[in-house]
Amino acid sequence: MDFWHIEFMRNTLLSALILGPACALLGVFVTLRGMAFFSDALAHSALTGVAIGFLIEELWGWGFDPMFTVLIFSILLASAMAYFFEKTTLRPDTIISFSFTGSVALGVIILGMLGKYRMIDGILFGSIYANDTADLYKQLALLILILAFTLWKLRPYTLAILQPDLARIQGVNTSHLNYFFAILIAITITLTLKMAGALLISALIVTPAAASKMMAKNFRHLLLLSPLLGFCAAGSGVLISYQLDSPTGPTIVLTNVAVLLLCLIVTRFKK
Amino acid sequence: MISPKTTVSPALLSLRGVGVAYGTDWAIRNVDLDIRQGEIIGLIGPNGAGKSTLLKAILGLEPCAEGIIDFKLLIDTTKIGYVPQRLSIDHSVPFSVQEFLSLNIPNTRWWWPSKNPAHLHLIQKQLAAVQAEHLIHRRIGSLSGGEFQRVTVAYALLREPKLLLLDEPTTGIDQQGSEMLEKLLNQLRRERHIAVMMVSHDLHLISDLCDRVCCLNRHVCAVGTPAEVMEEHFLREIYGRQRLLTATRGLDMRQSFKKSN
Repeated sequence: MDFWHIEFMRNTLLSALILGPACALLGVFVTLRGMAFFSDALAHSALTGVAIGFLIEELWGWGFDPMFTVLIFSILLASAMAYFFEKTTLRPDTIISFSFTGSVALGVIILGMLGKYRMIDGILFGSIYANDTADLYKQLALLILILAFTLWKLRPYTLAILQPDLARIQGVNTSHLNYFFAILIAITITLTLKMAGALLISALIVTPAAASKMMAKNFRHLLLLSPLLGFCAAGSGVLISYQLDSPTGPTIVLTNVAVLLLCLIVTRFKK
Repeated sequence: MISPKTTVSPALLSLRGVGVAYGTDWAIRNVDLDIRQGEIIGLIGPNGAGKSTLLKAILGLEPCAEGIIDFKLLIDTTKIGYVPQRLSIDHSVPFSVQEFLSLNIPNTRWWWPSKNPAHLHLIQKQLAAVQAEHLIHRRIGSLSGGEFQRVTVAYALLREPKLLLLDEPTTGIDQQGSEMLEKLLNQLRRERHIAVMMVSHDLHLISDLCDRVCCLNRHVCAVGTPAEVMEEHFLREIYGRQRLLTATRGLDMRQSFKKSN
């Protein structure tokens, strides 16, 4: 195909083929744990991470990749929310709600003060064509990290989600696992920001897992089917956006939603 | 305090002066109790009395601020099976009973179907022991309260426990499920000599099933046979009149169910 010879298009496709299954595999645990709102909130807070990056550059003249401040801010926010879940009696949705709105408000104020309102579009909706080869390597490392987490921590983490006491009896440190998983979501969001944007990232995480839940016979099938659907939806989303000349991130999200609806129809017919 | 029933079975576990504190508040204090091989002990008391805290202290999930838990014949907590009240699972997640039980078999590649027929046999055997072998491929979220309790008992049995701790096992299950649980626990005691400690507000189940009852209200109020401990004036003092009526409301239903079967 033509676009394979165009470097940024090739990078876009490869990036989608790496991040699609990575987000979808992570999504299995996110949905199992009921953390869809958590990942959505964390994705939106990426706006603040970018804003803080610009603020540091403005104040001290340190110019670096804004993804660095996004990563640091996301990890701090994810850890803070995980801490509040564990140590306070506040409901998780309340904690997420004030963390999310508070951090977005802070980000918008900083961008407004710096006169960078126009940047908000790119952060909210993504700009996958800005992907370079270095980004691809980081995304590949993320996929390997999520696979490694799944292979090594699947049993203890699944048990910790189902019944924390049963996991702790087996010697699992559920608190460490929860923090690690929250940080893993933060890293995923940072590295997916360019592809889907803060507004749409959580769709890439949640939708394939939700579609697979309807089709899978058991949890093992779910673990295989979700990344497979994520891979297919992300790849076909890039191809469709090339053909239709539509924005890539939103097209990938719509492809995921189409797959979800298809699964819904198939399950209905099966019944 | 009412004196405990004399028994010849050796103690699996001894609690001496056990206390658990949350911050500056004592959840339980000065708990002395022996759990003997093959006996069924009911743990009763009002809400907030520290019953679940005591189970968690025995399991090592809550540190003892004072006192000693002597594991005697159990040696350590690995021979204790725990049956929780519920799992936090979304009903739509396709998590099968077989997969849930596999979580308690050590050294299995849980993410990949086991090629080891011994593991499958082990799961089938424990499910058969609780009359739940037909549930092996069912989604765990789709089980009724009674089915779920039997599956979680099968989960606990996988590690061949000598002591089973059950936290409110009859919550959300119907009369038939409660009867089945009673038969099952009696059978486990008879065939495997497993000791059982059970937290419950179902005073009739406790009185029908248990050899001894421990009444807890942040400290041990009484230990003895059901007849010794569960005298109405004593329970009224512990629970209050209204709560006692609620806890004993199932008596007539339970008796008529037994007659009809």
